[in-house]
Amino acid sequence: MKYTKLYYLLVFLSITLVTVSCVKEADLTQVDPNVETEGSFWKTDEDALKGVNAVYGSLLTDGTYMRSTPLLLDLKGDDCRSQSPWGSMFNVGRFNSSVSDAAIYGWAYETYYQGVNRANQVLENVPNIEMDDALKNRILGQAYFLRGLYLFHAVNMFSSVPLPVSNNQIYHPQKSNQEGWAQVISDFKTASELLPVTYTSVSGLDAGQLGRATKGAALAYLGKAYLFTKDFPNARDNFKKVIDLNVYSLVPNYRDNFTAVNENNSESVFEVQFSRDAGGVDLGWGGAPASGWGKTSARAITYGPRGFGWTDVQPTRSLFNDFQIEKTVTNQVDPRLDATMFYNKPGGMMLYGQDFATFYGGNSGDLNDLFCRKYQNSDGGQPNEFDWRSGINERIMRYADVLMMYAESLNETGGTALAYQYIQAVRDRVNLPNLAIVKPGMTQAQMRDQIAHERLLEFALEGHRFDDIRRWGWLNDSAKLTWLKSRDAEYNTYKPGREFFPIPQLEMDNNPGTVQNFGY
Amino acid sequence: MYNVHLLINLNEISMMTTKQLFFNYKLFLPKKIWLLTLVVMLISSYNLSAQQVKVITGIVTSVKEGTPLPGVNVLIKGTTTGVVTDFNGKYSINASSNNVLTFTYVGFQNQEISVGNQTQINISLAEDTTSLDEVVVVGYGTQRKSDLTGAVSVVDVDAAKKTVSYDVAKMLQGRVAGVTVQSSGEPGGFVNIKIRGITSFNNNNPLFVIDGMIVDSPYDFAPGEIESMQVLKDASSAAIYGVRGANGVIIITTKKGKAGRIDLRYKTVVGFQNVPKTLSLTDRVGYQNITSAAEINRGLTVVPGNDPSSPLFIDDVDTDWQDAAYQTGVVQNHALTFSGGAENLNYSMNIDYFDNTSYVKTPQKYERLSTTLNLNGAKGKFKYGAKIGYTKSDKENFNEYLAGTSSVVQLLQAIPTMPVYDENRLGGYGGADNLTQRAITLNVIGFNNLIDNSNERNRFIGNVWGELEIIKNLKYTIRASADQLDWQTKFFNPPSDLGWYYITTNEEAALDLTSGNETRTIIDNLLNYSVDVEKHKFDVLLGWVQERFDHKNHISRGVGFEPGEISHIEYADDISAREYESTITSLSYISRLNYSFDDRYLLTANFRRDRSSLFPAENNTGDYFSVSGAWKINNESFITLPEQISTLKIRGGYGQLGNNTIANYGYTGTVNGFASYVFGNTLAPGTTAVTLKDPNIKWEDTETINAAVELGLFENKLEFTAEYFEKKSTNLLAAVPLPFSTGSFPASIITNAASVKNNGLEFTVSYNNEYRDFKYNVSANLGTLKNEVLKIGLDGNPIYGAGSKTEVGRSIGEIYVYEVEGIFQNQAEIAAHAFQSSAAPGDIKYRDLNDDGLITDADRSFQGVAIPKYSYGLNFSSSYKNFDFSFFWQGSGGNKVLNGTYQNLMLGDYVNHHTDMLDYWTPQNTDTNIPRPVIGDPNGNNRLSSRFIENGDFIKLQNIELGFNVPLKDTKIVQRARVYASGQNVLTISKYKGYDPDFNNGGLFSRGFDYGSFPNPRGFMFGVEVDF
Repeated sequence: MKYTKLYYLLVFLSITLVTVSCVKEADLTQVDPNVETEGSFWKTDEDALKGVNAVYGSLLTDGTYMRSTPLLLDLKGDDCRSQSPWGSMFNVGRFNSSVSDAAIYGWAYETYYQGVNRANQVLENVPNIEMDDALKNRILGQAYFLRGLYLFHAVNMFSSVPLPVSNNQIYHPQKSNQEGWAQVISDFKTASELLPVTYTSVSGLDAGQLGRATKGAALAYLGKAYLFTKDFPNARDNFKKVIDLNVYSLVPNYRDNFTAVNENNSESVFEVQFSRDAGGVDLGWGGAPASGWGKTSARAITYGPRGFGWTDVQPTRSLFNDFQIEKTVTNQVDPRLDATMFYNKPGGMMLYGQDFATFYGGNSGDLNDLFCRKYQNSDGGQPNEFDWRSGINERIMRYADVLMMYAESLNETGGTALAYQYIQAVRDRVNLPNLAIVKPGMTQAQMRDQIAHERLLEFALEGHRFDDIRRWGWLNDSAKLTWLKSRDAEYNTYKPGREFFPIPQLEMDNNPGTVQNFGY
Repeated sequence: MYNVHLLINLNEISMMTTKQLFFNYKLFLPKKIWLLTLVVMLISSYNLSAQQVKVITGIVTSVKEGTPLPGVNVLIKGTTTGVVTDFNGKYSINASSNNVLTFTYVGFQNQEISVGNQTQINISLAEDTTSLDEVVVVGYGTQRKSDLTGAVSVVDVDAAKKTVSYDVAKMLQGRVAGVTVQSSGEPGGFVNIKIRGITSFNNNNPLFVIDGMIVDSPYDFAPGEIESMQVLKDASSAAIYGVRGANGVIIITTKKGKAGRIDLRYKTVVGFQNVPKTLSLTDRVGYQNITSAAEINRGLTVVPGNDPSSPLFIDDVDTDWQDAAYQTGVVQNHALTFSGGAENLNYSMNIDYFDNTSYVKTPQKYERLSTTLNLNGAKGKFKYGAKIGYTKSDKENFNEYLAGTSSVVQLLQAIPTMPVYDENRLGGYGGADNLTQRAITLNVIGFNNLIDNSNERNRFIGNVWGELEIIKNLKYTIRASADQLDWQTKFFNPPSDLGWYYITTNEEAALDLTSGNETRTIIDNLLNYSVDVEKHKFDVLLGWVQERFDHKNHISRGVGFEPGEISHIEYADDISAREYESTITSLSYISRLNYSFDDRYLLTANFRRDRSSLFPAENNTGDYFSVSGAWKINNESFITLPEQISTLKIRGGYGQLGNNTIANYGYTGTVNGFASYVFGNTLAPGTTAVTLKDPNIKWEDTETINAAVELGLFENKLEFTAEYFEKKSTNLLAAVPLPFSTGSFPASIITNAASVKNNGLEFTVSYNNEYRDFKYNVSANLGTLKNEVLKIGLDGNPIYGAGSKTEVGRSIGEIYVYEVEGIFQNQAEIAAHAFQSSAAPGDIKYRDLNDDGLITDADRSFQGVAIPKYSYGLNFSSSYKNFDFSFFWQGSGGNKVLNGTYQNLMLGDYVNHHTDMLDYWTPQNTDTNIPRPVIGDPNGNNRLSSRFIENGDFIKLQNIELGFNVPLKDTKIVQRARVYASGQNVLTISKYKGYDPDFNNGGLFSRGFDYGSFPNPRGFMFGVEVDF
């Protein structure tokens, strides 16, 4: 009896144990089936290329060129103003960004460092991959370039910032503005040594891909970094190297720099690539990228004229007036005016397939107002910008800029007379008279003012104006500051120190020892 | 086999005393034996004195339910003569007029009645809620309440059920000392429940165990007719749940069928819900006045819509958005319970329908239909049971425009010059205009009515168990349970025009379809041995528990719809899809020893080993143990307690628990393959690591000590418990914020980064008494809580939240903001004050706490604890003849709230304002604490500061109920019928300026921040309960 019981018990137990055991020893280690692990990545040349592509990917987020970076660069200039009801945007140009509200400028700061982190992943992992050395160098060169570019923005806009050159640590201490520029220069220099002049002549996985960083892009940014740190001889020499590459030229039609039609053209030294055709259609604002993300910019809806976009940015009247100062050789208004803004033009002006005067006829306020045209999809193909998705590439380094910066560095190194021809190259495209004839023999100081004027008209709404104002020291020059206030009322609330944005509170709170920028 | 069993039992019966027999009857004896005992009892009742003997008959019912009680022992006092009541509660006994009849029934208070002239004695027995012989369910077993050594609170279920809610957690609000509940008024919305404070930065929700099944998200299924609820609060009682027990455990037992009779109970309640409070907001004139002043103060021209001199001035629209949005919501709950039993099988079936429409004029609602079937039975040495439950719920969700924003705040901020409806806009709802109003303001009503956001959940739970008594007192139990959830969500945002900033173009119109399923399977193998050796009682439990959790989902997204187009995925212009799957497994070994000596000294020891796939192999094992003991002083022979003291027990314990509530795959570094770019309009795939992971994460550990005194006075009419606890949690997994410069997204890393201590006192007191027909019970509980952070962050860096800072030596999420000193009256005051870069007269003056002459982030300071220092509940219930009446107050206090809703109404911007804003500073109106409105807020008047801090103290009349038992002549069909009316959330006593100080904020570091949670509705309910 007893044994029978035991026997039944044993049978019962073994049946239950075998049939009901839902978790086995091996099940206690679970591998995420949804993603590749870091350990299995970084093995092949394809991984290396995907890795560097991801560094570019950070250029497309809200914090970077999708929206925030152009806004932050433009709004402080005297070429722009904002009547946005969104305080974080409204306050940018009024030098009033709030320490307690890091929207927009904080997003920029955050995503620059995400880009830096991605670049560091490439720089740390790709050297260990066995692959074609030429391709490897190109990939590393791009990673250096992009790290330099993200840090350029961080140093330029936030002044004293951390400089992570490795992902092996969590905390990167705040560094001085000087150290920041040194790192930027070092990265661009290394990049210029590793990068090819073009990708049309290389063979490999990246052959023929337009939009990748080139030697020219690295040299141009290296020159720009020297210019921003007032190292004019080095600036001059590097801009000259770009010119001597002999691969760049100005496109005949100025407006071809701001539409989706003629992208990656001969004038384009480096541009951020947007497309309505590639990827999904979701707006990829930021965070962990998803498969449905589109590759489009929200700049056009943000800057768009009333009725076609949000009108958060508008050109200033003084910019409009500056375009009237000098007529073309055929006594026409500078054609760059119409490429830059929409206004109630005598004789009519079309926007999004509608006539300006007719569209705004009901309201005198709008009828007499100025709206942004650069980088707008306004040629009639789209009824408005309300789907948020603009595919226009942002040309952040144009050859025209290289020529103008070269002219400037010539002027600063005693070559004022030599500067004329490079300025004139840019003027010639829009039929402005020969500067050597209309304003011959300018002094260095006169030439500075001339360059300032030329740069304003050529690069209005392209994010360069305020950088120029700051680096030229106009904010410390009471006469210039008064003049700026007369041109753009938003300068009335400028205060020393506010030429930089505040370090976002989250960085202050979580990176011990960080000191807030002066003036906040 | 059955007959043999019966005989054995009969033998046993013959050896038992009457009292033991009846005690056992209720618990164990099947129907036939009960009949036999009746016969035995009837025979024995012949031993009566022949003097003045008459036949007394009557019926015994229960006070509470009015139902007849079968098996009640009716005894002539001082004799062994007695009978038991039959199925219908009827009895018949021969007694003389000088006899006293004693009615006794386990779980009920005894009653004695003198016979006198009566020949019919009908009597109602009251449930003995203070009974210490009550058996409570503890983890993987049961125990007598009086034998408990740990902190286990037994919830007064009948009182708790008076809170009409879809969520069991909500019913616990204020009912148990040490349990705090934060809720939101959204139908079907999430309820946040914490036991004894914050012990984790990830998930503080306790473990729910329903009829032995571990159940996540208990809110989306009705557990059935709840019979009992126990809350295991300390480590000694929860240690058996090891790694799952750190947040406490709530054990729910549902009604089981009983052999012998069929019960049919129908309950229905219908109620109406309203927002109990509206906030005082400006109307059109007030809005235009303040916003225009803000523009003028900023040197801007007034927008045409607000400018009386403009042809575009708006004076014909004046929307009161609260009035437009709020309506009367309807809540209804119908439940039918059917139970009974046959020879070898008892059953109880419950069908429950819950429906709640919103008090906001939107499609928002929650509807749930659930059925549960409990089966249990025994045959010979084999006992078995099963639970099968199915729930279908439909929730129409409320929509936020951006995740993390509050629709309530957006509703309140909506400007009065925006109409609710506007047939000229696509979709038919009103919106604001860029030129005339410039306001970025959302028509929340339109937005929610246009969007279809529904969530359908189908949930099946199944649980089968068998228990075999292998040899005497050695029982083997196997339990297999499965909890399967299938869900589908549909989110469709059609093309619409809700004003200039809220246009949804055809290209943006999107449909998201998500479907998924989750299955949790658990297999318990348990071995239980109990033995009595003279005065020593041992009860040993050994067990092996396996758990597996599988999750899969699929998301299809379609983008691009024409207005009016069918909202099906195949009509979208562009379709994309993705999927996700995950698995979590765990293996655990459990053991427990209960020992008691002479019913005086009690000892419980637990040990559990857990291994889980959530952690890397080298860290995946956790060992947990606990020891606790109790001393029943009232059972000591050498101590003579005063007569009034019926119970005196002291108990205490120590234990360790774990917590594994973290996201899956938390330790593996992964790469994201969608970080792509574009070259020449062609997608260039990009892959990169986005999120920083800690490869060495391990369990969270919690240590608890617990000490308590239990006191029962006047035959336990008055019961009192005082308890002290201290809980120390170490290696807490926290998402530690990282500087942006680290480059990780999100800017945080999950790592074992913190230690926290919670301690507090808990008091519970209850008093039962009656005066003639008036019976009443008063019970109250009070819990205090002190939370202290012992260690935090990487290198001890504090963690900042929304206006909060968590640092060592303070409690989690203490409010940390700027301090307001006043308002600048003139330029001279600004010049004399610490530098505030953009201040002008009328702006807020902040205190320069560090005296460095600058107002910077270093001038923020701690300004209040966000966690209530105490919470309490007071319940009164009574009955008088056919009436019953109860009310329940609940409250908490000692905490501060950062009122984000109010802050958002004091912006002085292009949104609507609180009427407080009308008193804004002007050079003429200087005697005010309201700053000037100014577009862009250059001085940061609106930054989080002491302006927005309020006391969180509140006391609520959570419910009040009056019921009436309808007297029934014929009790054959309808046994009992009760009607009642109740009020829910009737009254809130609080000075809080927001909607409700009882708000829900899931963010742990910002617990005190009211970002705009749905106000809890006030409800009036009418209900009927009928037993057949």
